[in-house]
Amino acid sequence: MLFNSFEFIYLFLPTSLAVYFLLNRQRLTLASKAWLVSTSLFFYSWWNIRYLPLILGSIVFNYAVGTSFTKREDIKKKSVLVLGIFANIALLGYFKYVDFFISNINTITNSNFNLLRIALPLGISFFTFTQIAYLIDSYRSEAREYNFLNYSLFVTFFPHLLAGPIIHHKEMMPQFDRRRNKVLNYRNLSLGMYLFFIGLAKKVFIADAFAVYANSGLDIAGSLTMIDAWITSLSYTMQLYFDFSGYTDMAIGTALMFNIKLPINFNSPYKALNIQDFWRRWHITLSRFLRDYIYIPLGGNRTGEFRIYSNLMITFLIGGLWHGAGWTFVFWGFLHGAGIVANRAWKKMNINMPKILAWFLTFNFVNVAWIFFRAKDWGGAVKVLKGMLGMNGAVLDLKGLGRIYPNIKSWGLTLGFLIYIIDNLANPILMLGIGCLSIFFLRNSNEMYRKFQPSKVNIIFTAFLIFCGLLYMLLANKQSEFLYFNF
Amino acid sequence: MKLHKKYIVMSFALAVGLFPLYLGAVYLLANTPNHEILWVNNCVIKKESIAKGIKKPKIVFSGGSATLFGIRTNTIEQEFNKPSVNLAVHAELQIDYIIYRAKKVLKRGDIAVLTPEHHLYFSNGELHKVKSRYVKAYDVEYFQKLPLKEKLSYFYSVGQSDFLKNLKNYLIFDNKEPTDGTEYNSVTLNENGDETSNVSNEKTRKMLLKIRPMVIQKVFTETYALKVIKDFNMWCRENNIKFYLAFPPTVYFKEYDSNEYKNYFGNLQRYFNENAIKMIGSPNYFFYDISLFYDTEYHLNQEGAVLNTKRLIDRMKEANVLN
Repeated sequence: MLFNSFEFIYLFLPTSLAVYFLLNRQRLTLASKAWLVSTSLFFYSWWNIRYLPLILGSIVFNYAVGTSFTKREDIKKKSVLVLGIFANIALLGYFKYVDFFISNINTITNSNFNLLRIALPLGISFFTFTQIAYLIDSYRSEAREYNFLNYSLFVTFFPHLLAGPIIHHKEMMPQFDRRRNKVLNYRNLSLGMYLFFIGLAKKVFIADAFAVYANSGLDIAGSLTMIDAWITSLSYTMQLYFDFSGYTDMAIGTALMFNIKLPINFNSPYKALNIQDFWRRWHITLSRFLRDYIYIPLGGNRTGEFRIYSNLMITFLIGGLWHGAGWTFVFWGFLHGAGIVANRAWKKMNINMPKILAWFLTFNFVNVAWIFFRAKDWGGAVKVLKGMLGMNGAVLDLKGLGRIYPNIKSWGLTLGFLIYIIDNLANPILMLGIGCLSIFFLRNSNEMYRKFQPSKVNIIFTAFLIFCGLLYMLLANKQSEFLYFNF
Repeated sequence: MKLHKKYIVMSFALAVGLFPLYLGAVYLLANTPNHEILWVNNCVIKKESIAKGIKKPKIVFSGGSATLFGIRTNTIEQEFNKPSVNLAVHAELQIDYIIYRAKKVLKRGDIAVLTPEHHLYFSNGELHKVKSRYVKAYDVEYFQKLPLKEKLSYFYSVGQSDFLKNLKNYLIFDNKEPTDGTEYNSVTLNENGDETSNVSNEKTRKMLLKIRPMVIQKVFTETYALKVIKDFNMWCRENNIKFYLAFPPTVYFKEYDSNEYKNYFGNLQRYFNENAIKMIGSPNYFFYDISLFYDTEYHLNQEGAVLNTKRLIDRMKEANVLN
């Protein structure tokens, strides 16, 4: 089920909330948790019920492993932990990476093994990482869960089930047991609603609009001239941010309606002044996971300089591979690893860079790296990069600019490919202008949420968002999925 | 807490309250035409009047503006000594509505030749702006017959900029087609409904610069549009009307010689054969050099229309259309 669907917003969510708080009001705590688990599994199964046994099996297995650390004194905990992590990775590996593995074997050995073409179960990357984090926390005695229902709720709680935030057990579960959280809280309900509809607007009005330009340039165009290429790459940069942060806002907002606070996942990442800063602002819970469970266990920054650099690189390569089964994802991870290494080396030199230059370099680095993240293959990435470097010529929109500067026509400039798709290049440029304005100068949703007051202005603003969101859902023939569902 | 409760209730109440206001405003402005829609309607009236005025069995050519600009039905009429009418106006009236209008003038014994623009085959029922505007402004009867959900989509399909344009037209529209040559005009139709103003000039040649190869389906599937054509074929059979599908004139690109395009066109023709839909010629037979075009990839100029009509006549003879 998608957050941006009619059935979720007006049927599933109100029903889940109403029954949950009603059961709690009757002091039926167990039943209320069971209800949440059932609705969460229903939410998951809405996509494809055939994968329900998969998530159930994963929950049972990880629960058994996690509880064995405390209940069984006779086991070798480390071996069990390794086995548990390995099993989770094997599960993820099978569904996500087996075809990548086979195609590489075919390339290396010149063989022709058939690809298995297994559909990727929704949310598998997220619930696998969530449970790996739990196993490690449990091994370290930082998390304890003796109750299967609670553990199931931890994994399946639907706001974070499909695309995060990736949360720690200790972050979420104590909140379910707090007495005041079992009572409907109108402040949290209104805050949650406010954040939810902001997220919805980000997704359906901004992200999906940029998707048209990004997809045209990346998937349809045979080649791209300079302006087309920059519009394509910047559009994807905007699309990914608004799509993912919009999803996260909806997830956090939904959880808040249940009086559960999830950690923030974005904090104006495109304002970052270096790559390290970027990763403190982008997909915060993932970078936290990579830091706590990969970088630090490898030695973190408590080793020699060369080792630190290699630990960073390994962490980011894994991060890249986690996002997708493809060498372009690995290369994207490599780029960010190299960026972090370069940032660390630069800091050691104690040379200050003007902030505007630092921002410019960081933003463009991230923008270029996203090309590899999005492109279907190397050729697709190279196509965009060549265009951005002007290797296919520079192009202006005669239709739009010709009215303002008639002399441009005499310069012999030709129209770019995007004109064919978009009909007026002013539209993506206008959209990019609006996107840049929101990203760089307006408050982000965390800041809006922190300063929220149930004022008349916010009533009108929220009403407008609800109205537009409803209009979109009634108009759309098909709901667009969130990009991070692909991971 | 009361404030927060009020915030929740008021937000939803206001959102819900905005709906009737929005629908009311859209409804009020719904039948506001613009020059393009006015031109479409004037053409439709003229062409259907020509068709309905023909008492003998006739050949009716339907489709979008590729047919409007690209076929000289007066030449076909002379060639086959059979009344012919060019019913085509605008592709974005979409295939189902184009066929709906054709059915109004077709009678037993007629020959219907449908020439959809290639992109019309990909439609899965999405509502295009031109059709939406036209129906709301000029075909209330058609609109009334639609299911409720579809009726609502005619209003929801109005975007913000269109809403503002409708408002502007509501206030200042003069209900006259421009005669300064800046837009198409229905007075340039001949006695068979063919467009005659398509004489290339420097301005129209520059408009051809933006043309690129058509985008096709990566995987061939039976779309809503193809089903509509299939149903129309059956309807023609039931009503003793001969139906033929022809292909529109369009700009040739070397990409069309690639396997990807060949496979697509092959699949399309296979689909028509499997569904007993008779064809006149094949898609690539109607690809032409860009110099024969007027202002878009589907609008032939005068020279192109003469050539296309000749080719169409040859293929019609080959397909025994008149027998």
